[in-house]
Amino acid sequence: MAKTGMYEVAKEALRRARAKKLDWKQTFRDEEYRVDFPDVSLSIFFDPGLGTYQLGLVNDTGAVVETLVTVVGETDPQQDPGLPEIHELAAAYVREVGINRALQYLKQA
Amino acid sequence: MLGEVGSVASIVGLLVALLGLGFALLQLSRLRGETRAARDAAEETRRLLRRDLAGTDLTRLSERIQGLMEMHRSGDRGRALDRYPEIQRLLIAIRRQHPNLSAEHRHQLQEAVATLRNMQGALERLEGALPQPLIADFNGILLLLQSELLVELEDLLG
Repeated sequence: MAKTGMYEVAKEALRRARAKKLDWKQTFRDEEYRVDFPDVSLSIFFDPGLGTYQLGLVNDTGAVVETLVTVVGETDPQQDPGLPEIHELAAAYVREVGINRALQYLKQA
Repeated sequence: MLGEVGSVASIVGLLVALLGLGFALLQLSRLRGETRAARDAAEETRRLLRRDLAGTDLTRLSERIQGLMEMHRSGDRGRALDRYPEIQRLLIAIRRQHPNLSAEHRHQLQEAVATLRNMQGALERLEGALPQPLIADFNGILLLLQSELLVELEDLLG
């Protein structure tokens, strides 16, 4: 995999996701999570049918303008910017936020 | 004798020239004031026009969102799918017409556009009738958009 701008985006997303600095939200597609910034968004999607992880850059019109794809078991681990881990961290973040919210509501009730 | 007449004429000439200069400076100052007033008036007109346009766009957007919620409720998927891009375009236009919006508001608009895109995609992929929980989710999001983001923008731009 050529180390493109999206590769750098993935590395930075991974670093920030590990630090829980990204406010991931689940989209209306299973296995897809999105984080929004002013003017751009990032989405991470796992396609179980194809066995691929896809990191998408969404522009200010909501269109996916850049993608980075890794194939489970086929992408050289040395070249992998960590899309499966980003996906896993995003899923964990969404779960954690949900649990914390539920706890908060239950304690208030 | 001739020299004295010449001196008087020079002094009179100088006085006339000074008077002329004073008058010109007075006119220039008045003109500058008028130009500034005209520029302020034009800027005020532009500001009011922008505010009216923003108000019109926000009203139209709110109506379109209301319509989309009704389309979801009645299960009119085809018309709903046509409505999504229109709402996204209106949101994008607001952001582009107001480049000085805060990062927080641009973030909220980006979130709204991306969420609408995801909702549209989900509706495209859906087979069969719209399930009730999905309608509730979609309309909940649209209601938030209408009652929070649009109200904030109206306060800010309207």
